[in-house]
Amino acid sequence: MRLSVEHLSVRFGRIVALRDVSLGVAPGERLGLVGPNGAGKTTLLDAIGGLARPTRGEIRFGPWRLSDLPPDAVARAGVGRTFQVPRLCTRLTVAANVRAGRALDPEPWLERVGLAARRHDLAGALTAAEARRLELARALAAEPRLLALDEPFGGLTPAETDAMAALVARVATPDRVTLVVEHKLGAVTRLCDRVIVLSQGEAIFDGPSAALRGDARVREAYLGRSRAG
Amino acid sequence: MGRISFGQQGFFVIGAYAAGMATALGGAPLAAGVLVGGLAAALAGAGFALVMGPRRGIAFAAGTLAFGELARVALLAFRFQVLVGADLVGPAGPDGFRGIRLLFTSGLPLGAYAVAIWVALAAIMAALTWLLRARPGEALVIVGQDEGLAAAAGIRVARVRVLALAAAGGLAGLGGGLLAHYATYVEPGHADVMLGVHSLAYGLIGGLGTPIGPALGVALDIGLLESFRVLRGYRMIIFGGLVVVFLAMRPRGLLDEATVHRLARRLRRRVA
Repeated sequence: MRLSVEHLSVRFGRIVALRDVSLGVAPGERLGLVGPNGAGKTTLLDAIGGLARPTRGEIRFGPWRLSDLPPDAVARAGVGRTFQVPRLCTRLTVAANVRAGRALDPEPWLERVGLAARRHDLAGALTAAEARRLELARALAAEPRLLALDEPFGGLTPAETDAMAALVARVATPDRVTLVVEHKLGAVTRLCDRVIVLSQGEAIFDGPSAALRGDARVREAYLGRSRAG
Repeated sequence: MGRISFGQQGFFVIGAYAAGMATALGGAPLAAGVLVGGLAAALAGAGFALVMGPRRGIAFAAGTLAFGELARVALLAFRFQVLVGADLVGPAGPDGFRGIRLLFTSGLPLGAYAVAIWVALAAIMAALTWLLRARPGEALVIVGQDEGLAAAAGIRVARVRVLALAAAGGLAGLGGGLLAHYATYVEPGHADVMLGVHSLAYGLIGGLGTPIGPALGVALDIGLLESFRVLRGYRMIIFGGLVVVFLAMRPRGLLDEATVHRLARRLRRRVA
């Protein structure tokens, strides 16, 4: 199923978080969403996930108009996501966090992300890297057709970043739309074939990762302020 | 589910009145009457969830407090008396609802009633323990901690809230029905806000990590309060102080989730 965002604007009071953003992503594609802090990356994921309501435009995913659905219905329509700051239920075990009240077996997903040995531990006891992997397992367990990862490398060491990138590459299957929000350019350009750069709520670049560094507008909006990772 | 209720006394009296009306006015058998009480309070809980469910924190807590008071004041005005034999029976506003006599006219020994209450309590604890280990319980715990996360996992958050509040109201209502039949009367004063505060304290003292916690909280709360009677006027001051110190040290009670998890793990290791 294809994700298409059309003329999407999101405002919070007087702040315009996203302005007239349009994009389409086909199954099998890995799209990186990059941009400096406050560019609107997480807002775009929240709008797709039903957590932020568009003031204009719409978001379609296959037969669904995601922009009309509440967040739980978006999830059941096949959208799985992780959060910028990992959100886990710290009062439940690792295995219960993967299951998350759903009729599924957490074991294969725990194996997939390498957390099988910690299945009986409380999720609150995990390290930052393990918490990111647990979130990924929870999102994957519903076998989503759209996987949206919000800064999957945030807070990880270089070695953990490489391991996570390899894991994401494995789960970004051809039948699945994969979105990766990240502000570190390096990790995203290695992982994603295509990149969209957001700056102050607008999409200023949409193209292959290889063309990113040569683009003048991107350099001005992005590289001028923070070093490429 | 991550919300605090100061209004359990409201569900308690709704259950008590409904159960009393079912047996004293409707001629229902005792068990059916008590169940009617639980059901009425569960419906009230579900209705409350539809209105206040999306609110959290102070707004929700204040809403429950208002609900409890609303129930009390509404019952002060509620009159529905019917001639049963030679007596007028039924809710009589501030005079309360007297003549809920079925327990004593049915010939059921009081001991058997007490046993039935303990059996019901054990069954409810067993059901809650099972629930918390099963999938619906996981959904409940996740909704309690983070509704955004619950929704992202596809959990129907609004439905969980309605079911949770219906269950919480229903349990309080069962208690109300049981008390009304034992005391043979119930009055709006039973919906005193302190009842709600104590029922909240049971959970906060005993611990929120397991259904045993609130039961332990009842034993500690009532046990301490009664054993402090020798202190006379200072009793409530010392008790209140102890509760404050206790909550400062263990904000989720004696048997909180981490403690329960540790105990369960130790037990599993010993068995293995």
